[in-house]
Amino acid sequence: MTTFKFSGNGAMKSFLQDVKGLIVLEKNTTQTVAAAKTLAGWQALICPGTTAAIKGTYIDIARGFELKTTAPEMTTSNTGFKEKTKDFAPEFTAYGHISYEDYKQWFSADGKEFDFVPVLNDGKLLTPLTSAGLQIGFCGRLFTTYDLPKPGGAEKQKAHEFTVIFDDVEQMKNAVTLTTAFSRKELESIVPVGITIEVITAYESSGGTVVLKATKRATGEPYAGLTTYAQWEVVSLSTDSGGAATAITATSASLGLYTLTFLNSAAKLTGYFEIQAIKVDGGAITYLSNVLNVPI
Amino acid sequence: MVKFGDTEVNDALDWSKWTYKELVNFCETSIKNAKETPEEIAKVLGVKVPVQKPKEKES
Repeated sequence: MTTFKFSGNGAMKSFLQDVKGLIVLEKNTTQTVAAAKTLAGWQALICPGTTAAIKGTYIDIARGFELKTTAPEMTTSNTGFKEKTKDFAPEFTAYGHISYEDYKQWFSADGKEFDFVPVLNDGKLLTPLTSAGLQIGFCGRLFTTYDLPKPGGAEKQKAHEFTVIFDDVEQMKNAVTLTTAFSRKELESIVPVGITIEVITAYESSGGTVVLKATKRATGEPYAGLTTYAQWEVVSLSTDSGGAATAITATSASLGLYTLTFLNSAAKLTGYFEIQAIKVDGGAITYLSNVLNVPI
Repeated sequence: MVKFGDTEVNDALDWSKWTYKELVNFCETSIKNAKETPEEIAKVLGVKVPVQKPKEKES
């Protein structure tokens, strides 16, 4: 924290605007403050040209934001003297303005540590700075809720809750409000569009082919933009030493159907593997699928 | 990127390790409606095509 000095009062007495969005980043992702004020800075982290370079995403939490921070501990001594003896790091529940299919993608991140940057309604960012003056998110943990669909009414509207607990109150003391050159909606628009991929015909043991279907998330509309093998990335392998998309037949792309061959050199893959599909336009990822487990 | 019939094949992979037999199986299972023969596909991808022995003259 900076040295305390009397700093005057502004003529305008406005409140900070509501938190309406949340940037979720891999831990210790930093950039210059100048870059953090521009959309290009966030594009390099949220929608770069390759999946390997993705460092985070943005969640619209317009459905609701509830602070859950524990009040500071106040202790009264036996003389009646009262003082603050402990501060607690901020925690809150954010209700994502996303589909259930989008929310499901976060299940595997339950309890994971991320860096968070709250985005205000007007696009300003609440963010701490590193000792070197770089922009970094608040270090914390994210929790999801596994539950059946909520009934209609107010509870339905606040579905898809993310509980976020910051780790360190010290980061809050050093936080700054950055005025950005972009609006919150512009930031929202750079997030890749979600695609759902699924196995239609199981991995075929003699030739290593699998028929996959790609649809726009939640609507089920076929997605026809994944016609080259380079758009289908092998994310992980369970038993094989290597694996890649060797061939693709996309004659039924208009129906969202693609026949792909995944091999480990000439050999077929022997254990389940995971894939992800991407579409890159103009050096930025515009469509991004779920990670799909292909059983063998 | 190289295309045979309706199928795009990943030519960035190291095909030189493939045997011709493996390639023929790949052509049968993965390549749809190719006009090229497996031998022609093998040449494009860099898979070694076995040389056929000349027939011995009948005495």
